[in-house]
Amino acid sequence: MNSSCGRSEQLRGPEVVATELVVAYEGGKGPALGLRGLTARFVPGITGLVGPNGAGKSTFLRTVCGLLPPSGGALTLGGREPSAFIAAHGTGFLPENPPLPPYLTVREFLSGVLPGGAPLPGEGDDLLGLPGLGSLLPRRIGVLSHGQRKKVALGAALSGEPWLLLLDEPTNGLDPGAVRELREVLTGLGREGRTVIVSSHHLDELQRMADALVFVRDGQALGAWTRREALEEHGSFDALYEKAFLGRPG
Amino acid sequence: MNRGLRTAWRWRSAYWRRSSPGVAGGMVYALLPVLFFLPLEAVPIIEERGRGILILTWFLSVALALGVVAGRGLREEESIWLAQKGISLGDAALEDWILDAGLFSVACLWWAAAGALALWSVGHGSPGSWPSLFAFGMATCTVTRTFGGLLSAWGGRRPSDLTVLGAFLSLTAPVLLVKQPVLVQRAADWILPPFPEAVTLMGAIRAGELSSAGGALLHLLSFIGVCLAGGVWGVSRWKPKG
Repeated sequence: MNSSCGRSEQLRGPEVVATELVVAYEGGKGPALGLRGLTARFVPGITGLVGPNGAGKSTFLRTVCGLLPPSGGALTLGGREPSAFIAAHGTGFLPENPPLPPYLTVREFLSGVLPGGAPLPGEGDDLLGLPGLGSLLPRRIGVLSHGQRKKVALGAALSGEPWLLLLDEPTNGLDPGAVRELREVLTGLGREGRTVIVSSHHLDELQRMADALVFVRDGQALGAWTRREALEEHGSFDALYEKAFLGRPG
Repeated sequence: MNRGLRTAWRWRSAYWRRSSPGVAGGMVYALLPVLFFLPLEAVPIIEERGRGILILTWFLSVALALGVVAGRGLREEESIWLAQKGISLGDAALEDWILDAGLFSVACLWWAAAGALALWSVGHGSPGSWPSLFAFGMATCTVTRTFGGLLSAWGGRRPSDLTVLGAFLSLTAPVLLVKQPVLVQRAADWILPPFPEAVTLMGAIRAGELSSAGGALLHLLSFIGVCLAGGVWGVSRWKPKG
């Protein structure tokens, strides 16, 4: 992606630093504790965020993009408070089940999330760096397939060319071709120096693109590895996961 | 960082066209004033054409405003995208409110024109017919929209039902509170949505009583201002569930 919007004066993604981060939120059955003192550091490039269901991955991503306030500890984005960073630069957040307004066309929706109604960057079929998104522009979101909706949601997350991108289970429900396209897009963003945090259960997919891994369990960080460390010491992300979470030798 | 009124217009006008009131709903709202020309005075509870037009305009205004505000003051599927881009949800809610007020003004202009014409057709028309009906419709729409928006912004599960309940209590308060102290009646006057004030405003404009119209207008604007501020604040505090 180029910087045609001209709103990203920094040339590198922010470092995301969480220190003893505690986040409580209002769950379906009353107040719940999503993070219980998570300490981790995320540098530019792609970092896989891995853990079992309920570990706090989604809560962490929502907190980083400013949708949930921390209850304790500290969280900084590029050395700044999250709200200050987001107000200045925005973020790109793709929720696991992205809620989209079904009554809008893709064009209306995407142009609405661009600050100041800036024109949509990209040409023809290849919009916001996503192949095929351009052809969806005139279509109503309510009639799109699951995979197409996910692509639109990813386009919305990428709009404004954010230097911090947070993706929650981005490959769920996508066909193999779409997964490959997504991998290529994310790899490109990581190479540009953007900070990309991907929460996923698909370790084989993460192994193809992630530069680092952070494991979380019960709202705390279990450990962090660079890609090189993980592969040299354990051979694969899957083996590392088995050793960390299941207690099997990796 | 603002998304701007132009972008808000794209989303809001699409919502009107395709969700509520929708094209079919818009046609119904445009054609229903035909009822103003029927002999409404023949209905025993109405007895005169002007009262019939007033009642029908009230129902049209409440229905249009409740349809437009259905759901949250700002919907979940919009909020999550705007918030992550650093776009103020409060600003977005305010922009939506302004645009809704524009929609109401167009509808009320049309209804008031039809109402005034219907009154002239039976010899009850006066120079104040059109502005008084417009003011009545506009006040009813705006009070409904703003009160409903306040309730939904603060987590009201069924804002439409609560708004209708508020309207019922507001219109029946003089009867329900007749034996209560004056202080209680005054408090109810200020807490409940001021639908009776819309009637007072209409009557005062029609009669050319400017001081009375000014008093009713001040009450309406105060209520709308407080509800709007509370609603925008509530929306700006939005957090996703779970």
